[in-house]
Amino acid sequence: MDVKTGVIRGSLSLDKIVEEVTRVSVELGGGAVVCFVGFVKGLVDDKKVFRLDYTAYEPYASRKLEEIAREEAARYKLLAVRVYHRIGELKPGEPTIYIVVVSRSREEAFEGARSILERVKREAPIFKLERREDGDYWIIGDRGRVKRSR
Amino acid sequence: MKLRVRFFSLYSDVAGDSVDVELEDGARVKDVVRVITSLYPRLKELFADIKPIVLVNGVARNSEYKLSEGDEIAFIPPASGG
Repeated sequence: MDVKTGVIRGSLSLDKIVEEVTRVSVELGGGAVVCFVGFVKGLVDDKKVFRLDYTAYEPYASRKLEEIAREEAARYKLLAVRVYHRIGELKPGEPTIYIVVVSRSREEAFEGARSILERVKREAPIFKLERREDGDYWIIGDRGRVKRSR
Repeated sequence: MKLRVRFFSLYSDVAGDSVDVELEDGARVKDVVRVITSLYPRLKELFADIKPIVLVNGVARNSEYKLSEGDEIAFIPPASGG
């Protein structure tokens, strides 16, 4: 399997990623690419969002992304996986995470991409602060938003 | 022994990004919790409200885990990537 992951600051070209994963998997029988791109919401709870501040606990966040990508690639027989998570200050509409997977069948590609996303959200030590018109909110796992009190 | 303690997300609002503490040899995670909640009393109520995950050198450990010189202990809430 061909796996590349990372915690990054800038944006990426999805076209280039798709071109790369297609090239490395075409001779292996690959026939399906699934891409997921998350981006910053501009409206939450009817409130305008100014930006999200992402922080990561490194090097453990990067290691966790790679671990998840490799485990899910094995589980869903994925031929290529790319997982890149952005950190820093991101404005509405800006991409936050890129997940691109290739497999021989669409079922494995869709399921694999979804499984990677759900695990990244739960397991990678990456945190976000939502800055919006009614104040700042820490986003805490399944609990949701906790208003910043300081 | 000297230990580096790091705080992330809402915990860093109360305790800052990191603090160095000195504990007796054989100290456990629960001893670090005792020291930092004494240093930052608001952490105690915050930990009661939103239970932290404690990582020692990047690995989740329970309160009885025995620490070693130079360990890095991180207090993180449930993750929120994506």
